[in-house]
Amino acid sequence: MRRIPVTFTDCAVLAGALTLLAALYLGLWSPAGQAGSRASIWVSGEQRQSLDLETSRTIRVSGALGESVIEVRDGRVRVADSPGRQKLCVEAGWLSRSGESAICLPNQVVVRIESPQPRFDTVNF
Amino acid sequence: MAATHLHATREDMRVAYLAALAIVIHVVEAGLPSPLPGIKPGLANIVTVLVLMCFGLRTAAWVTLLRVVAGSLVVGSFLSPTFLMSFSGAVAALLALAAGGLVPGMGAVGYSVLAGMAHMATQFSVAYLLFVPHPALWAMFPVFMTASVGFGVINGIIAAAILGRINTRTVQRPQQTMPLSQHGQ
Repeated sequence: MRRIPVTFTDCAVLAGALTLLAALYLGLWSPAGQAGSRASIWVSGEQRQSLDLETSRTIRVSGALGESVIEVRDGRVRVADSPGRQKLCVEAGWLSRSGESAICLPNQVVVRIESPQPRFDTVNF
Repeated sequence: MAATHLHATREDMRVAYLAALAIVIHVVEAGLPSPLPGIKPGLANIVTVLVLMCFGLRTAAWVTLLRVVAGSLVVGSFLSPTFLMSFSGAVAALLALAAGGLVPGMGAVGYSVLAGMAHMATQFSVAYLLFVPHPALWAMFPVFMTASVGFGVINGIIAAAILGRINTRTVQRPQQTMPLSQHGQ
């Protein structure tokens, strides 16, 4: 077996790369990162309200099927109840980071943490 | 008709041979399934690193850019978004290789890791700016970078192993004869 030439600089580069990776995980995966401050509520494609996440409250929004209950507490927001069958928006749980959303499709209600650059979600080709 | 005679130099031939090799790897790899779109081994990078270390940055740049352009023509993605990401990634990787060359003692593994990371970071940024401008995309960034470092190390080791074999045959400078003792065992 021939010896594979690996230099000291190679090891230094690798060490730097691993450090950078650790920093990336810490910086981008920390729960505190990118916390949103406002949640917007959309019904049938129209924005109804913009809620400040610092003010705890429970509101009711009437959608296509009935009332969705939206709860704001401790800088987070969730859909507590909604008339859909699968309760996907309720299962989405608490939202706090910008861009997160809970979508009650049957009731046409969307709760979404506002992001600093609200442009578009995706572009498909 | 005044025909212009194009003379292919040794250097041109070499670039063509090596680019052909890189294109084959590039195309074969494009057909491999991947668990995540955007993550692939980047085996063609092995060729880039080897060419860089044997023939220098100029040849490496030629081989890489030819590979991206001709490879995309073969796969059918020329001037598509995929091509744009591939091309910007390749340019970034070359810049990283050029920067890496300034550090003394840089070996195949170091070059490969640098190029892989630059490629991935650029591709990811292009994807964010042009296709999915959603902040949540950055949550995927560490995973993609981990893959790039992992594959960078593997490719670098493969390149280093190949280099260990071809160095003994002195491809680089045929006029320079190597003493027998350096041939390994």
